[in-house]
Amino acid sequence: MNSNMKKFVILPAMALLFSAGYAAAEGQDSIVQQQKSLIEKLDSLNDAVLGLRINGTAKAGVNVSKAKSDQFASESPTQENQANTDVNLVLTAHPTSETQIHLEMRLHKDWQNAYDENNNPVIGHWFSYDGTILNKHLDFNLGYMRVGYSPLTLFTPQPDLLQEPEIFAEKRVYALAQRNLDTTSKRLMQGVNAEYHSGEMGVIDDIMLQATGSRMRNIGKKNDQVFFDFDYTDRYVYGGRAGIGLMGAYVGVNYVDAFDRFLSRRSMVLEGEDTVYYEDNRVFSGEIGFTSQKLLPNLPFTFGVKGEMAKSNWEVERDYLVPAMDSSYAINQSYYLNPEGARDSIVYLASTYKKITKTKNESYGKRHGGSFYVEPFVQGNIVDIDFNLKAQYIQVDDDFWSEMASTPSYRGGATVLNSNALYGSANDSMLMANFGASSLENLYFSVYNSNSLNATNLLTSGKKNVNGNTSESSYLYSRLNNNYKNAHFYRNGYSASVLKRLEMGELLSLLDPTVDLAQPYGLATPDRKGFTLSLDLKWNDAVTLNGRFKQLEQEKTVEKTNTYTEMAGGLGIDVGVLLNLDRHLIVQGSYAYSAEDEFLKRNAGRVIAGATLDVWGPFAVLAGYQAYERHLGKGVALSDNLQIKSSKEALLLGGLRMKIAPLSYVSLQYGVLNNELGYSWNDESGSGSKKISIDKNVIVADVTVNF
Amino acid sequence: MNMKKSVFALLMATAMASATAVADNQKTIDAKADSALAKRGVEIGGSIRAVAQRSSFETDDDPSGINKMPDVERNEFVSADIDFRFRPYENVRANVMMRLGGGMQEYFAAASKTLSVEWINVEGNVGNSFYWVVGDFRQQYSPLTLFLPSVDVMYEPLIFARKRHMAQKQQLIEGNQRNLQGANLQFRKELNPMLGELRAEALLARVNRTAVLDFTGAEGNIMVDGGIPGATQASNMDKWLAAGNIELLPMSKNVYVGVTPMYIFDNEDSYSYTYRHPDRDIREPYVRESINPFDVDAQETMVVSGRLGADVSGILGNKNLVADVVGEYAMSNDKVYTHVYTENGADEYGEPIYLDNVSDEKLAGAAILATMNVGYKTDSWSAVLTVNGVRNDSNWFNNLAQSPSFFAQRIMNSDKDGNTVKYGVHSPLYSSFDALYNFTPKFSPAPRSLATDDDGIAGGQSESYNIAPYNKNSWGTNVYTRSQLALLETLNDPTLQLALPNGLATSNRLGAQAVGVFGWKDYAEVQGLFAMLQQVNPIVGFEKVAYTEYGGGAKFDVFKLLGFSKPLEISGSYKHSERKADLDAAVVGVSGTGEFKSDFINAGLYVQFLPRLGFAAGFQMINSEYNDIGADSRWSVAPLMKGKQMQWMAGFDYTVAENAWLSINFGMINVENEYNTASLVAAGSGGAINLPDYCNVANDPAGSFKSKFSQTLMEASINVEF
Repeated sequence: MNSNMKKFVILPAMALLFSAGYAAAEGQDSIVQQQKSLIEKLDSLNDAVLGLRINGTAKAGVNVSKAKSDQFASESPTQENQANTDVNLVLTAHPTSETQIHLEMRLHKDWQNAYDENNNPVIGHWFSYDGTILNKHLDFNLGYMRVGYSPLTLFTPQPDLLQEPEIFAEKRVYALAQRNLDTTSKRLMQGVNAEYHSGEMGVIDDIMLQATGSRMRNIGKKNDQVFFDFDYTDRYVYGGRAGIGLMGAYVGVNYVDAFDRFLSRRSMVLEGEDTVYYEDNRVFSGEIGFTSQKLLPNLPFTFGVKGEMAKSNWEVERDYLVPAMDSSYAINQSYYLNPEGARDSIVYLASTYKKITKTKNESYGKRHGGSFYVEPFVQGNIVDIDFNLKAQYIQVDDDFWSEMASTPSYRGGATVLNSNALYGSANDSMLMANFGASSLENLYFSVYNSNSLNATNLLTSGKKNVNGNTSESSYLYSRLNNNYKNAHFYRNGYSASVLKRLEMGELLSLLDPTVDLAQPYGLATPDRKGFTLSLDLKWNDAVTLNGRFKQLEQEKTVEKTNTYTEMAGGLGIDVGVLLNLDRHLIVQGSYAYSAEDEFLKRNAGRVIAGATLDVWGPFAVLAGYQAYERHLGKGVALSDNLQIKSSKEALLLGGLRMKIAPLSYVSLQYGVLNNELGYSWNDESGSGSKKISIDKNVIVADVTVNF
Repeated sequence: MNMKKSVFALLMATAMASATAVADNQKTIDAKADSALAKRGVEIGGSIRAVAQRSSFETDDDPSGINKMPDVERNEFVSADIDFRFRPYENVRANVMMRLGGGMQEYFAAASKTLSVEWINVEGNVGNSFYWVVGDFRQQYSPLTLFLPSVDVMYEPLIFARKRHMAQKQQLIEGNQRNLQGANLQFRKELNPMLGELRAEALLARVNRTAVLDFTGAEGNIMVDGGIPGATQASNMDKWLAAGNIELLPMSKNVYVGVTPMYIFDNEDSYSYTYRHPDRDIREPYVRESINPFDVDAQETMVVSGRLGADVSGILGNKNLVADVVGEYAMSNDKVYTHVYTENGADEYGEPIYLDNVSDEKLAGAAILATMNVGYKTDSWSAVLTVNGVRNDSNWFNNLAQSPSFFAQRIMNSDKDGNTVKYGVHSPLYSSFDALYNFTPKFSPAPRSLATDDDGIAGGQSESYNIAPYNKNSWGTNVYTRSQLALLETLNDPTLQLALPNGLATSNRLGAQAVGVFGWKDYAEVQGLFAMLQQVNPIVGFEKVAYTEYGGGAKFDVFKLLGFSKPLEISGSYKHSERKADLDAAVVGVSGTGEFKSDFINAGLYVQFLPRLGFAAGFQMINSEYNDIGADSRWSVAPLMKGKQMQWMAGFDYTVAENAWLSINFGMINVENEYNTASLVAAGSGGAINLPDYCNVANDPAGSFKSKFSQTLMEASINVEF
């Protein structure tokens, strides 16, 4: 086994969004198993020596970004430097031989020495208790976990970038890791998960049962000075699935329910215009599948089919204040002169009314929807060519909604590099603040800082609970922290949070559809009907070829039927393997095009090219180029008078990497990042169209050590 | 099982394993195998400092209790520094130091203890001659280039020295090395006996970063809410240091040639802004302004130093003779700015608009340092004379060598000072001993009024810091800017930092300093010190400014002399410091001499009477006096004229090793200060920043106010370094 293999695998793997990925994984299954067993042996060797295992990664270095733009204000800073040391410690303890406690801590220091940096906290970012118990039949997770069911129930859609060169891929993985995310389509959750497998029992391949429960959000309860959880309610998800495999056939069911807990909101009093929505999203799906591998193991190829059919139920209730009258009763006494002329009194019951507000709860809406897909495939090896061909037909109702399978981890819309820049015009400023920097910057760059908490980054609310009120506290300056405590801050285009449907609606125009125009929420994207084709070929570990085609229709949520067409092709060649050299010289590239014929009439094209060359001894040259151009047709409205029309992005990144120890490198990279954004504006002074063009030069020098 | 997994992976189309698994696993296997071969290790070390202290403040000057702040300060804290040194492979290492901090008195009130990152780096070597480190590191080149100047106390009693050791350790200070963050490369190669050893080093460090700090915080500000250049340490730009150091030690390392170029610069392109409410009035809309509007100029300093030295005794091959000499010549070239504000029209309200006309020039300065050690050493006695001759221009500037590690602060009972605590050495209840020896890492100031609601917190806080914990400690490794050093110059403690407040790199000094040490085995040591320095270019208004220091001291180990194995050490020293500044009659119109005199006395005793159990006692006294012209009235119209500070402390200790002890001590600081309040009396004004709030100058029609106070300290400490 050599690392050449990796290169082959990494390329299609990044590309094969859903189904391709598992097929690739299946092909390598035995190798992975062997490797895992070896890793376990090595780990147990360490365990025996250390009892408690401490591993981790240390990264130290500098990232300089110089920006240039005619749209910058004259006083704008044009350079931003990141210089830091960052250690991610992984502690693994084994209370029993079958279970383990996994704890990850991040230590981060931004370089400076001009003042006492006090209390720079260690962030614990992964706590879990995991194990494989009951004779290895039951896997469980408690705490942080990654769980996936099926593409229509519990899933994380991932970017589909064919032949993404290593220099880009490793940057993306690093940015994801800072958010505790990875490249798998499992979803990051915190809770409890148990998965039972019977293993082979006679003709039965396997019986599996799984149950999962997790809290997805936590209400900002405290009268706190600093908090970032602005949720009104706690949100939970629970789910389960069951399945049985028999002679290569499989039947299974999945169920997921994500809901807001009413009572957690009701501990807070609503005020004024506050309206709180409670969303409940239930999805039930059935899966069937068949693979010939079990019945016809001696064929040079495997064929089969899989499919899933899902029903979703989405219900919303809301609480808000309505005016009401409050009546009360009192015993009153009045006086009068009786016929005799004497003063007399009468006692009576009087009612009084007062205007008040009452919390009203009502149903806000309900949607039921269905979806299904069916996917036949064939894969195998003929004349030294590994192939994997898949076709998929999918149909998703416009009312179908599966929250836990929809939210992508790539969110975009952030300004990662040179976020301190100032723009000369209000429109440019507004546009950059809301639309963010280029999608390539969001995909591949991330910034992680440890900053002193101060008036500019402490959130202080005028109310005890910030919910429903964004006013700043008049006590802001008396609540400060003496610059005493640091907190960790991210600038990152990825997010682990799961968006609700109403939130997704609000974000829809801003969500960066860069990664998949046709299916921004993965297979669960509502109102889609059409087919997908995918082919991956590999010859002799040296040449890989990928092809994709997708055509999907959107009917209900648009005026005219909107057809999405996507096509992509990629080629990777390892010249080193081809020429029988003892090193890898990988050259690769791909092109992808996507378009819609109606609605906004958007289209986009992406070119990727790259090289990963083990030139000599420990030295490797890594290079990558990516250009992305999109035309937003009628334009995406950012506000009443601003519409984004087009964007043109390019990223060229290259560098030298020196291996200093296994998994430890010194690396020096230089990159050029161009972003051009065309937009139209109109206001009382007139209208017109304009361009923002920003060029960034990036230098990255760092050392990474794995231990 | 294998089959089962593959079938499920295939059919359920669920979360697939990352398809990079094979490659990732292979890398992991390679790494683990290599790590096992490298005898992989995790080494854990560290230190623990636990202190419980109670300091009570007493004065007879406040009979009616005008100052209502608490008289007693209690601190109980534990600070545990845990070092992890990971050595996964032969030639690469990762080091992490985490500090666990707990305040014991808040155990029940605030369960949250701090766990902070103090030190992280990765390091390694290539072969035997190349070493690299990225992250936190320490480095020191020479006193004029890269150096951390400190304060020397001759024969400091052990009982106090231990307190200072803990205060400095808390700030991660190791000798005169500067703590930096960046990359440091070192190359060492033994060429041949004639050419000797070649050392080539280079470093790149960021010494400050563009980051917003609040001006009202006790941390990150030299003078809280000072509103003047140098008051805040927040930086508009990233400040970088690039330095190289090449040294050759030919002739069997008996000759020394060294060159150090250094470039310190602010990265002007990174100049950034922030948004603030004007005058911290929350009702005013946010306004964009510089992160540090009081210090907007970018530093650009080039320093080049050359050194030449020889060990004559080594060349002669004489092991008894001490005769070595090193000469260092350094040049600095610093960009300085002049701001001239001119009126340019008026705004819509008729208020004048000012234009800032900035011009800059390069100030070139030079510094010379010659160090000579001459003496003779035998097994039974030694006599060594060390002479440092300096000639540093007034334009000489190198903040990497001039930033001192000691910046006098108010520590114990600082609540009593209220808002004036920020004036450090000028605050009314300051004492040099409190600043030198006390520290508390997580002090929460007391509010001036007791209330727990927002109004109470807003109204109850002093203007100089917010109600939040902060680290009280006079020691640090900060790198200061030109304006910060200028501000610090007015906040130096003249009884401790008179002649060379910025070490041997102090600018504007000409003169010499000589120290003679005579030693008799381990039994006794006698030391004499003499220094005479003067300003090269006397500051405006003076014709000549001269500094004189002389003194001497001795220590004897009586028990060792008598042949006992345990120590009984008696030590003592006396040092006189003096500054004389002759007025320039041509400028100020009168003649005269401003004088400052100060005497520092130390006396110490340490005896171990049982295995590891000992008794320590110490006494220190500083008497200082200014004459009328010499009085420092830069911060106050009621300058200090006379000061008498005394400190004693005695206690028992249990010592395990040099830096591992447990001790219980009791002591007292007594201070008597006399201020000239004539101008306050004449103006009928109430007070000054350096006078206690209970002082009423109306009671002193003579124009002289005497302030007397004392602090009684009781402390128990544990210090363990492992």
